[in-house]
Amino acid sequence: MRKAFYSFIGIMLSFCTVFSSSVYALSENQKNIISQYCASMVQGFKTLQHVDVDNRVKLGSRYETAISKFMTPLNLRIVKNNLFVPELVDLQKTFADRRASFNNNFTVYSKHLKELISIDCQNYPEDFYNKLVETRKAREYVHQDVVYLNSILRIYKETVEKVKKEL
Amino acid sequence: MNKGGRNLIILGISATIIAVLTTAISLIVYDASGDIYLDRSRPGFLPEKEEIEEEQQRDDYAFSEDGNLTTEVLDEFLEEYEKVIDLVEKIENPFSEKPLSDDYLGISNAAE
Repeated sequence: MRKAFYSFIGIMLSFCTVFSSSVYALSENQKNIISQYCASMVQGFKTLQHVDVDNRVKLGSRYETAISKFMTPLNLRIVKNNLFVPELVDLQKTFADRRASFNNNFTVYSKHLKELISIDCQNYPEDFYNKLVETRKAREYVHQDVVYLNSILRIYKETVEKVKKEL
Repeated sequence: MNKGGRNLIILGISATIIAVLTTAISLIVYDASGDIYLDRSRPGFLPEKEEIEEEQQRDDYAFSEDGNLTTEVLDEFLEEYEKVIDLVEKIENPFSEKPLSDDYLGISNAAE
């Protein structure tokens, strides 16, 4: 009984060690590269921060224009004209939901990028790389949101064109 | 120092402490909410003049929710709507993986 208990503790401690260690093991060469070019990488990320904020604001305001000055009034006008086009309403709702996701994902990504920039990559290249991988994943979610939102804009236009043909 | 003078000093110190506390709380909320990442009034993040003019021009149009629905009305809608889509798609490959990739940063080459 005692042996089984100690074996169980040993197995649990092994699991803890596995999960607490670095997920991405770097080669010595990679660590040296990161340490050597730390300053230029960080400077590049700071430039990227500016570009990302710029794109986020531009996309955000254009998405806001699309929904508030086009989708919403058109859908209302359709209803007031006693027409029934549920696809347009669904598209508007999907667009609004995904835009909220875009806003949230961008905030998460920005926090990761800010933390990445603040890491001392010269002395802690492994921590830097682990954070880089997390930031990369967060950025991918933002990218997916943008791709999806842009596709909904196009689908909405195609649906309106169908409505126009049926008038 | 008389009692009035002492009370004045206490009032001044209390007011300063409250101001510092509320400012700190505001900054924490500003950072935690994510608004800091959208704030373009920060130095280095200000919009360009052309961008401001473009935004003002775009804001002039708004589709009306009142009125009949005809093909001409929808033609106008589609024409203006397409301009918004063009502006969105003008931003090439936003938030692509490239700037953070190992290849771009020169890290993957180091593994060989």
